[in-house]
Amino acid sequence: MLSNKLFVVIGVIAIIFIGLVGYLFFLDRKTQRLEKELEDFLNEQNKKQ
Amino acid sequence: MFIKENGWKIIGGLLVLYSIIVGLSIQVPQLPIIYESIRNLFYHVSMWFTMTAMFATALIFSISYLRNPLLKKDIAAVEAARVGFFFGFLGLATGMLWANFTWGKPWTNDPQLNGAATALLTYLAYFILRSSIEDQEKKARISAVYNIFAFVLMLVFIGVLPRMAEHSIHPGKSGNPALGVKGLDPRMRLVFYPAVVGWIMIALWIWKIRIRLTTIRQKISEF
Repeated sequence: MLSNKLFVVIGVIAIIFIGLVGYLFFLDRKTQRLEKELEDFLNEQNKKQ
Repeated sequence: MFIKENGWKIIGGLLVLYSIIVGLSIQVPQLPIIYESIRNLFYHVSMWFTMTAMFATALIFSISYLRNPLLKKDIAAVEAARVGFFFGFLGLATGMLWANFTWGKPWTNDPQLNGAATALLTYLAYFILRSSIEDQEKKARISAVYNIFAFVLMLVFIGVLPRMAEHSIHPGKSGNPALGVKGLDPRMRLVFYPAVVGWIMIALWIWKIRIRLTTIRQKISEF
């Protein structure tokens, strides 16, 4: 394990996976902002009418 | 607040992370032909379990739609089927790579493999059916009925027919593969179960984001 340096590969895969999960969180927040923007826009349009 | 709302997403990520780190570093039984590739069980089989969980989620929302037709239930059902299909595709792709190094070619005419491909085609038909109907209510109703058929067919194609077949080189034919107490090394089970739970949580997370995006698109088109 330590001598064949497999742990380095495991580390690399782990970093990539953590990165992907972090990216999913980013998309989650982005969607949340989009929801809010649309909600605000629709409310504004309703007021105008 | 953040932890309360998103804690399950972090747990899902940590479970899969655990399965990657521990799954690649533990000692595994050395079986002839497959050797270290037995570790693929943690990753390849998890894809199929996740697919089944998402298709089951789609089934629940389709039945729920037929009982009480609300558009959001239809959206939930189709998005669950889409995420399930994606994981099924990953299951096929990883299976083909594994098969290439175990059986010598990526596709053998094994009942389990053909069944899995047919099950995915059943869901492909579901998406095509949906795209062919213009009227929203009609689309939702007809595809909800079809989705119930699709789920039953999927179970038959990947769970029943391969077990009734006389020859299958794909493992997991007697009892409940990977779920039973017998058959799977206990150390491997400690990695496999968390992997399945973790991937299902991540699939549900993607599903939730997809529902929200489709709802946004729906609202825009209604405006």
